[in-house]
Amino acid sequence: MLFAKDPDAALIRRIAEGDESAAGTFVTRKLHRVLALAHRVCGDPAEAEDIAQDVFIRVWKYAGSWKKDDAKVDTWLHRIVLNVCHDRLSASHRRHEVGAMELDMQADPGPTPEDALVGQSTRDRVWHALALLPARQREALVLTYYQELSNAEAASAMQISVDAVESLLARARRTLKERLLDSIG
Amino acid sequence: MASDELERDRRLDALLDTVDSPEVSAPLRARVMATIPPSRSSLVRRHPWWSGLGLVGAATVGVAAGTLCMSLLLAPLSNSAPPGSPDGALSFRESAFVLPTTGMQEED
Repeated sequence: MLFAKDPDAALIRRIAEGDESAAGTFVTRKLHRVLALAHRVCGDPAEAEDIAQDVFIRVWKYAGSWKKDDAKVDTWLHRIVLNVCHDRLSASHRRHEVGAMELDMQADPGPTPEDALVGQSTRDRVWHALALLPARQREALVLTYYQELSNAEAASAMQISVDAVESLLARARRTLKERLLDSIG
Repeated sequence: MASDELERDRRLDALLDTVDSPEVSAPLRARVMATIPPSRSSLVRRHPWWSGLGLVGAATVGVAAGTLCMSLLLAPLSNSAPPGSPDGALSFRESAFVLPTTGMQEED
């Protein structure tokens, strides 16, 4: 079995049975990861906090529907985070993607697309480059690199094939290398 | 060529590592903890009078149901008026047409 041992399985079963202390333990254990993923995917700290709150509300609601054969609790949780992010993006008319497209359009006519990155701190340059990635490429990179999920787990969280995750990752890293290494070094 | 690509990967990873994740603030933690639905046992613990209220409610329902049953069972009996009561004159149980047998015997 791929997910033979899941340290969170017993906890999520207790939550499904209405165990309040188990839910508290789950928040302590997972809030940081949920917030980190939400922040890196949506890019806005305040919105990331709202997303984190929504994610845990969904966990309380759907804990009973989690099945151990489907995915690890952590993978299931990442899927919920992505779904909440997508819902919020849809609700706000995908303002982040539109913003990124506008930035791309502003950058394309110039001599280098990295003009917007020049003069920023290293952290800000990387952050900006991540924000410019297409949403699915950014999600694949964040899940595998920052959240340290395997490609299979990321595929499960994103509800796509492992091949598709690998393709997204390859394109994301190629783009980041071009933007962060080739022009700026 | 391959080592050059590995070196580029290493440099990219080093850059990606500069993006740290935000710390969980106490207000956020409190907000999320507040969303935890209370379990039934903790509801009773927080509102101990709820269990008393439940007992009173159950007793009230029981008394009402018992009263209803008793009234249904006793309803037919209450229709029979005792002999000699004013309601008896309107009752069909005692016939108003009693043959005057005693008077006939006296004529003989």
